[in-house]
Amino acid sequence: MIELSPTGAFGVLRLPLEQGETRLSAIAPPRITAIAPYPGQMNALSRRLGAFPAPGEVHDGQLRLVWSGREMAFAFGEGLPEGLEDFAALCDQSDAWAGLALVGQDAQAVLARLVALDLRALAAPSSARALMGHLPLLLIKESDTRFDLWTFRSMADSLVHEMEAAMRGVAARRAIS
Amino acid sequence: MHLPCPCCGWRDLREFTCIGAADHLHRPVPDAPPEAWHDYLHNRANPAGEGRDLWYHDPCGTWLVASRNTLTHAVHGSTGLEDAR
Amino acid sequence: MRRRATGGSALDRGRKLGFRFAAQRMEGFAGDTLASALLANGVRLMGRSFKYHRPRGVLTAGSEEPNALVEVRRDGQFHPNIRATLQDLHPGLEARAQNCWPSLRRDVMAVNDLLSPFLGAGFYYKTFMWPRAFWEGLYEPLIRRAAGLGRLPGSHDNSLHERAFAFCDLLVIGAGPTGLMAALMAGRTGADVILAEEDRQMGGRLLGDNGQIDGVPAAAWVKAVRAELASLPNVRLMPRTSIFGAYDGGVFGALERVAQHLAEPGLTPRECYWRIAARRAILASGALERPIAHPGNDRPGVMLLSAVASYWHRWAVDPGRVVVFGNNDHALATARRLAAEGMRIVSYIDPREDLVASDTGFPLRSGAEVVATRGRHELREVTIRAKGREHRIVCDTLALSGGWNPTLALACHHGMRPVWDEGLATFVPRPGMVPGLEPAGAARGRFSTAACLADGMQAARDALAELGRTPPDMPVPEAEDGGYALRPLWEVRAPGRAWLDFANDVTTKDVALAAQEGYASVEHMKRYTTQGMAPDQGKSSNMGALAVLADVTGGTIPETGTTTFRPPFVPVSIGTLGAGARGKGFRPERRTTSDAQARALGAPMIEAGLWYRPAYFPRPGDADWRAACNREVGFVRNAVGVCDVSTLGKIAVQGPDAGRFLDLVYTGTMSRLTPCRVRYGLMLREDGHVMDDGTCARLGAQDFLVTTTTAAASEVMRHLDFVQQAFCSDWQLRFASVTEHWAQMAIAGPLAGELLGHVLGDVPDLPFMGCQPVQIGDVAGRLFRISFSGERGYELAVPADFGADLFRHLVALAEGLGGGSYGMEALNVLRIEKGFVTHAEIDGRVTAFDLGLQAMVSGKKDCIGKVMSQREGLCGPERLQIVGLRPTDANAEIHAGAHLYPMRAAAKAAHGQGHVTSACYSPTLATWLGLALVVNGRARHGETLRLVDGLRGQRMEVTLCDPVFFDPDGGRMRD
Ligand SMILES: [Zn+2]
Repeated sequence: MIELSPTGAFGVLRLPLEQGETRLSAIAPPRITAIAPYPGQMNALSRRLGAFPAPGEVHDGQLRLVWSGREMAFAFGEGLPEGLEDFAALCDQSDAWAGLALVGQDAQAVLARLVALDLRALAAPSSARALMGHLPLLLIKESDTRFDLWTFRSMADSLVHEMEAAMRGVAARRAIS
Repeated sequence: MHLPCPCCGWRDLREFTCIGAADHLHRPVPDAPPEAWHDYLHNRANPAGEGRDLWYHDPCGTWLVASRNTLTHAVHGSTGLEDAR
Repeated sequence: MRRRATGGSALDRGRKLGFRFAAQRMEGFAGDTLASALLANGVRLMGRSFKYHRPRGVLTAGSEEPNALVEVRRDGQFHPNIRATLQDLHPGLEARAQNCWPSLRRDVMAVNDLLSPFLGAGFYYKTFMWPRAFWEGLYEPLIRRAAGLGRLPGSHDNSLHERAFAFCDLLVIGAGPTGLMAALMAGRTGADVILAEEDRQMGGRLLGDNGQIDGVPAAAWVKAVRAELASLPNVRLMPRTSIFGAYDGGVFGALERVAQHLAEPGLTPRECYWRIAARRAILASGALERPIAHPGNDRPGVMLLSAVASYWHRWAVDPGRVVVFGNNDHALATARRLAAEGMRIVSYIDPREDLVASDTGFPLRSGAEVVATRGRHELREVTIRAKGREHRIVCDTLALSGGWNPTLALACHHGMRPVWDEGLATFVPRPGMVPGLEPAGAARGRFSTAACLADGMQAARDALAELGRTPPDMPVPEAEDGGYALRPLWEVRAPGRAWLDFANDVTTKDVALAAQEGYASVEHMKRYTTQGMAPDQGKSSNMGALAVLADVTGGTIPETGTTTFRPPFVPVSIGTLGAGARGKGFRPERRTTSDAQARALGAPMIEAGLWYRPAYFPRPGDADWRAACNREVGFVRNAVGVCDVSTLGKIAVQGPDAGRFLDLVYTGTMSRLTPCRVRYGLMLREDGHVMDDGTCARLGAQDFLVTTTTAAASEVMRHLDFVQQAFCSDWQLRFASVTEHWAQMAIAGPLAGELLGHVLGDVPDLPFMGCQPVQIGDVAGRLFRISFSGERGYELAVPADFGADLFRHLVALAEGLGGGSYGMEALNVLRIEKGFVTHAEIDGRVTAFDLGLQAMVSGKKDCIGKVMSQREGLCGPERLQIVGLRPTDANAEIHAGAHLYPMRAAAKAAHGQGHVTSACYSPTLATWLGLALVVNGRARHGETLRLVDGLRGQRMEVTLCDPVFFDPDGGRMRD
């Protein structure tokens, strides 16, 4: 019998990173459960969860519910109510996603280099699915100066690389203006 | 070009994949005559002008029918498949 | 020779900057462009023309410049075709002239100019026609050496480029009087406004204007408006930004020059490619003055009048003695104003007969034309013809004004044509040519300052109404409202060459010749003469060329029409268009949890989709990669091998109707699978061809896990989404990709069970094609007994956080049992020996029948692709069917891609019998093996065919056989 130890998604990457007015750091991985209500079960599910997030919504309660795609939300954290299986497909996605927090005055300027989304138009908090270049992205806007960026774990390295390049360019522009 | 995803709103074209006219939603029954199947699969409409076509919004996984004009490139709107048939 | 006057609104006289041009040291001021600094240093000759290598100087002061293109060097690299008019001076700037050798003043290719009678329109088409044999050896190298504007650096361009997205309510294109007023009005409503201006300074024509607006000098008015705009948080000012394309849905391409003007750019991108999505846009791009085609009009020192005025006002460039050649009232008014400001205007020449003016301060010659110019490298005098008599005027500068053309290219980017305005003698845009984009001010032929200010406000009002905002009450500022009368003068008829397109060396005679030789349509003329095809896209020549063509063909200009306007409006470098798409930006890398370990073991990584997987694990003493591959095959066949298979797509399908759904998408009946069992699955496209294959495991009553191949994972997901949303959206099921959550390791070989015993504590009693949950300490995992190697095989899945550690343990345990890790090469050999197919075989054209898997298409139910898979032509002896291949000589190397022919037939497509899809050397069977798709292959086992590998020049004899070469009854993986 062997014992297994965990390795984080950003194991060998140098984080946090700072460039100019932005800081990029890894988010401590929470438990992530994908909740996908079965057809016609949305109301029953919502009653048990408080509410089920509509597209783009983030609900903060005992646990955080984040809209994460068509008819799906991610529950961040422990403490999912019992008995949801009758109304929704539940699926552990804790190890599938790697999250980075981008914080700072230039956070929106940095993301404008990477994501074809009007970030100013988003409420805080809210979520969006998008592409960052070719990377799948779950973006959570926490505030005008903080964005959480989740991508597939296997692409964590590419995500950091893209973020760093954009942060560097924005910081360099700030330095000349 | 931008297209409206029923879930995500207007998004850049690069996030979408198109598979042609929306008549692809009308799958023949298994014992339909071969002509029906050939029409369904291969003799697809590709009108110059107003049309409805099937798009996939890859980031969120939603299929949609977009109403648009292939001559002017005007996009009028979209619906999810549950409302499209 | 110093040519700097006092003043210069753009200059910072306190900061002198040293720079080099054509290896000469010079000095300018901060605020200079390279063009203004060169003029101020007395440099008129700035480049050589494209075809005839004629000496050329700067014609304009903006992005439309056709002549003054230079190479700008920095850190050992250089960028070609930089317009001197857009390059701001910075300390240490190093620029060189293009198209000349050995130097700008002595250019040997200038001999072309003497040959010009032979190099006219269509020269390439006529001269390089025959004999054919001369093409490759003589003509092409000759053309390549002589052709091309500027030259390529030849080295990798490592300058930084950036891409960015912006969104706004209103995009205002151009910050002249029209754009400033529009932006101001919209900005005051709180609308989200972007004001993009090509120049580094906002103001447009007002920067070169000493008129008054609302009683203050125009420059002061610009400064005040700019300051207010800058103070508004809802307004973004984008100087140095050219909007180069109007695309669908209100998307505009913009090129921002970020670092090209910086002495030390550091990590600042050179340029940024913006995609701006605007709900509404106003085209306030102004107008461009057009030259007059008269003989010798390309000599350095001949410039547009508006450029002479700009250089004078903004950069205090004294043009010396100036002759103005104009055909319109605006030109005369400008000349008057410049004379009043102290410019030495020695003569004003106008073809209009009855022009009277007093107190001009210069002689005015009515009914006159310029018919020639002189001066070797720069202008010394011009020849005037008036009332049939010629005489010469000594001068330094000839300022041309042939009227104005609205800058309307963006309005035409959706294919709509502008309309002819007889009064203005030019084309003007119509409203609504690009939805959401409305031209205003000079861009639609409203040329006076007062008219521009009023039109900018009106355009803003209209846009705001559509945006649902109420425009503020604002009076129209008072400003110059002079008339603009002109008599079109497209061409001065006199001996000598009169240039239309300076950048591509096209004269009025070339256009006439094109028409004479049958290229009389404007699109044909353009291609025959190359007029309008240079980097400036004919901005200063299209109108003139059209008029000359209309004249020689006897039509009117509107009948002759315009050529098509296409993006980009200004040249955009490929590096900028591709910004963000280098390296990982072009192709993100997907790495497995064992990636770092595989690399540390020296494994070369190969791409599988976006994933990286180890090819093999080399050891000291290996002769080549095949030695490692053979060893790893041996691990699996004789002991135990470990391979990370996490890249396979994994999809959790859950819900009461999950089985029913899988029955619809798979050929098999997955709903009848008992829990804790796995089944091989085949997924078809609706047209009957195989989409993908994989396994389907039933983890619980309503809980399935299906796998896809690595390459097809996203296609399968999209397909499942389609089937579910289109055909069964009310069924009780959901599915989600769990590829990334699970790290999955294959453990294969006779000792696989023993190895698992070390991992799990005891050897699990799991039958072939069974699955079960397992516990490794605290970690909950899943175990599948499946085999892609033909040996006893397991796949062990754990949450990805534990993948790296699991791989480390497994490899160590395998090595302890005489095995080890194996890579993609060995995996490929193992599956070929067993005749298992991959996407090398499932190439989008094969059916289940072709693969010999037709029995897997259940006859008892419908599934996607079933009807079509059974149609005529998709199943029958005419099909290419999978077979095995063995070479007669076991050591003859087979490679995928080779084709098969009957033994005595020629290797021609008509005789083709099929092709090799996969091949390998099998250490197990000590022979080369191949899988192939062969016509009616299943019925031809035992037949001998000729294999021809055209790429590698190989020919050999092969025998067709069953594709399962090893352990055909499968005992090894079942036991
Ligand atoms: Zn969407």
